[in-house]
Amino acid sequence: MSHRRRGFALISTFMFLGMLFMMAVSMILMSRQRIFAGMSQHHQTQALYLAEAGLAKAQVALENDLGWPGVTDATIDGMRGTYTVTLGSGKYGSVNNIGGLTKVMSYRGPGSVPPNHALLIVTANVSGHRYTLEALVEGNGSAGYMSDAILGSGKITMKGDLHVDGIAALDDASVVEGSIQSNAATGSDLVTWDGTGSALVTGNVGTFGSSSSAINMPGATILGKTELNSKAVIPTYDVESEVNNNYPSGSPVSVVSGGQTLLAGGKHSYSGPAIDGDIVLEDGAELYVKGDLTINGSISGNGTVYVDGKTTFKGDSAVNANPDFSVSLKSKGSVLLTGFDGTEFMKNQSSSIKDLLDTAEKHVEYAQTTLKSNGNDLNAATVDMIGGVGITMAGHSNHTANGGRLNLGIGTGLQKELILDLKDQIAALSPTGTEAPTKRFLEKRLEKLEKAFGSTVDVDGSSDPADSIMDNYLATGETAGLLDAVTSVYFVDELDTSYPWSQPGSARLQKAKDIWPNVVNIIHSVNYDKLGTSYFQGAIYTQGNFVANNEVQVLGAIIVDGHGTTKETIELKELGVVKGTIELEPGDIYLGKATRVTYVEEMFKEDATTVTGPQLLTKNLWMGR
Amino acid sequence: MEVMVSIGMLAVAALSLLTVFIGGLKLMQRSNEMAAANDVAKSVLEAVKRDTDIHGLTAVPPGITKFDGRLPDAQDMAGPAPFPPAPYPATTVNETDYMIMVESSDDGSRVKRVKVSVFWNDNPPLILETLIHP
Repeated sequence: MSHRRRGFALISTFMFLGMLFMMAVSMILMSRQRIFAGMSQHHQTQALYLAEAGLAKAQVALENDLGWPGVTDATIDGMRGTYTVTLGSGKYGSVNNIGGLTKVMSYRGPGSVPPNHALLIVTANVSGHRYTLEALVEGNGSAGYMSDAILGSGKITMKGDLHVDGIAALDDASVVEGSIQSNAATGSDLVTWDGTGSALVTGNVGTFGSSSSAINMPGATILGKTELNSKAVIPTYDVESEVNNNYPSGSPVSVVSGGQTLLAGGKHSYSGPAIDGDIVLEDGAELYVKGDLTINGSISGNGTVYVDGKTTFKGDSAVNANPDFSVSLKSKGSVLLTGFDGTEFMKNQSSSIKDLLDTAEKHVEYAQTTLKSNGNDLNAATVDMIGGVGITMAGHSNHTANGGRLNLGIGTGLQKELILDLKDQIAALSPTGTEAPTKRFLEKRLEKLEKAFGSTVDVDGSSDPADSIMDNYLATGETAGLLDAVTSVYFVDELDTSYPWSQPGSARLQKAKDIWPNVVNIIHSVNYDKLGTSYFQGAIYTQGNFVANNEVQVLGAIIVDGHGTTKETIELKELGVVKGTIELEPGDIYLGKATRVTYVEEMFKEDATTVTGPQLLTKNLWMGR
Repeated sequence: MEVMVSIGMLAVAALSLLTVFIGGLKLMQRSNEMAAANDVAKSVLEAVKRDTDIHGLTAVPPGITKFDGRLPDAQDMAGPAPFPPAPYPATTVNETDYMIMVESSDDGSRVKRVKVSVFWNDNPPLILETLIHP
C-alpha cells in the first residue's frame, strides 16, 4: 500500500459511520415522535372523556343544588387529569339559567341561553392536553316557578267533588297551600264550581278579573283568600322544540293494536293514528309524539309524554313521572281526559269484529226502538222482541248444546251467537296482549252482556229457575239470564196461561213486573264504554285547553298556558251518550267530574328569584370545541 | 491492520444500527397498535353513549358489572340493547387482535361509570373511562 492510500480505509469508515449515526439518530427521533403522537392521541381522547365525565358531574351537581358555583381543577376518582367548570360571561364561562323564565346572555351572545336551560362549558386537562366541550342542558325537574295547584290563563270550570291541597314533597307530607288561579281578565264566572258534591280548597282562589262575580263557587270551603285582580306567572315550555329535538333519537313505537304496548326506559317516538289499546311506560320512558296523540284504552306506568299536537286519553290513565321529573305530560295542543270508547275500539279492529258489532248494534237498536214504541211496557210485543233479540245475541237453552251456535235459518248453517263470537274475536286480538286491561275489560263486558241476554234454563213447573234468577238479581244485582227469566215468567203466567206450569196472578209474576223497569234500563244502557279515571304524579302542562270528563287526581299541578285564540267545541260523552258540548278557548280548564289536585312544592322552585329543589337535567345540545 | 480495524468498527456500527432500527420499528408498530387500541376503546364508549341516548341509563346494566372479552363473557341481553355493544368482545385491526373488557358501575342514581380496557399481544391494556349522564 502506498503512502497516499494509507488511512483511506479509516477515513472512509469514519465517513460511513457518520452516515450510519445520522440514520440511527433519525430513526430514534422518528420512533420517538410516533410514540409521542400515539400517546398524545390517547391523552387527547382521555381528555375528551374526562370532559364528558366532568359534564356529568356538573349536571349532577346542578341537579342537587341549583346554586352550584362550579369547580376548578377538580379530579374524578380513577381518571387521569383535571376538569374545570366556571360560571361567568367569558369564553369559558358557563351560564346557569335553570328555573329562569327568560332568555339570558352567554359568551355566544344576548339571549343565547333559553329559559330553564344552562350552558355548561367543561375544560379537561390530561397531561397537558386540553379538551373543551360545551352543552346546553335543560331543567326537566321544574315547570318553572309557580305556587298554584291549578293554574290557567283562561276560565276554570269545575263540577262534582273538588279537593285542592298541597304537600311539601312526595316524601314529605307537610301541608302547604293548594291554590287555584285563573289569569282570565274579563267577564264573570272566571272561576266556577257548580256546587254538586263538596269542594275544599286549602289555599287561595284568584283571578285577574275584577268583577265581583268573577269567582263563583257557592258552598265551597276556601281556607285561603278569594282574590280579584291577581295574576300569576305561568311557566312556559317550548314543547314543539322539545319534541323536535328528541323525536329523531327515539325508538319508533310499534303499537300492539288492541293489546298492550310496552315502552321500556329511554326515548320513544310516535307519529301515527289513534292507538286502540294500552300503553305502558316502563323505567321512566319518554314518549315523544309528533302530531296528535289519542289513546283509546289506557296509559300507565312511569315516564313522561311529550306531544306537539293534541292529547286525548280515553280510558284510564295512571302515569308517574320519573322520580326526578316534575312533569308527566307536556302537550302543545289541548288535553282531553275522557272515558274509554269501546265501540270505537272494536270498530278500529278487524272487519269481522266491526261487522259483528254493527249487527249487534242493529239488534240492540231494534230492541230499544221496540221498547220505546211500546212505551217501555211489558207486553206481548216486547216479550217477543226480547226473545228474538236474545236468541240472536246470546246463548239460550235451545242451542247451547251446539257450543253456543245457532241456526238462524239464513243458509249458512250453524252461526255463533253474536256476542259470544265478538268476545272470542276480542280475546284473540293480539297474542302478546292477553293481560291488556282494556281487552280484558271488553271481554268481561261482552261476557256480562251475553249472560244478560242469554238464558240458563226454560221456565218449567218443577224447580222454577226463572224465579230464582229474579231473586238472585234482587239480592245481588246479577243480571245473568234476567231478561229471559222476566219475559218467560210474564209469557207463561200472563200471556199464555195454558201451560201446566203457568201461575196466573202469582207472586213471581208480580216480581217479574216489578223487575221489568230494570230490564228496560239494561237494554237502553247497552254499551261497551267505561268511565275512566286519571292519575298523574307530576304536573300536566298544555298550551291548549284542558278538559277532564272523568275523575282526575294529580300530584303536582295542572298548568294551562293557552296560546292562540281558536275556540274548540268539545263533545262530552259518557258511556256512549253525549251529555252536552262545551266551547273552550286556549287556556280554559274544564273539570267535569271529581277532581283532586295536590300541589307538590318540591316540584317547583320556592320563589321567583331563588331557584332550589331537585332538578333533572338533560342534554339538548353537545359540541366539542 | 487499518483495514482490519475498519472492518471491525463497521461491524460494530452495523450491529448497533440494526438494533436501533429494529427497536425503532418495534416502537412504531407499538405506536400504531396503541392508536388502533385507542380507536377500539373509543368506538365501544361511543356505542354505549349512543345506546344511552336512545334508551337512557337502562342501556347499561345495573350495579357493578365486568365483561371480559378475553374469556369471553357473553353480552348482557336483558336490557334494551346488548351490553357491551359491538365490537365487544374482540376485533382485529391490521392483523392484530384486540380484546375488550368493559366494566360499569353506578355513580349515583343518574350517572353510570363505564371503563373500557383493550388488550393486545402482551402489552399493558389501554384504558378509557368516562361518566355518562343522559
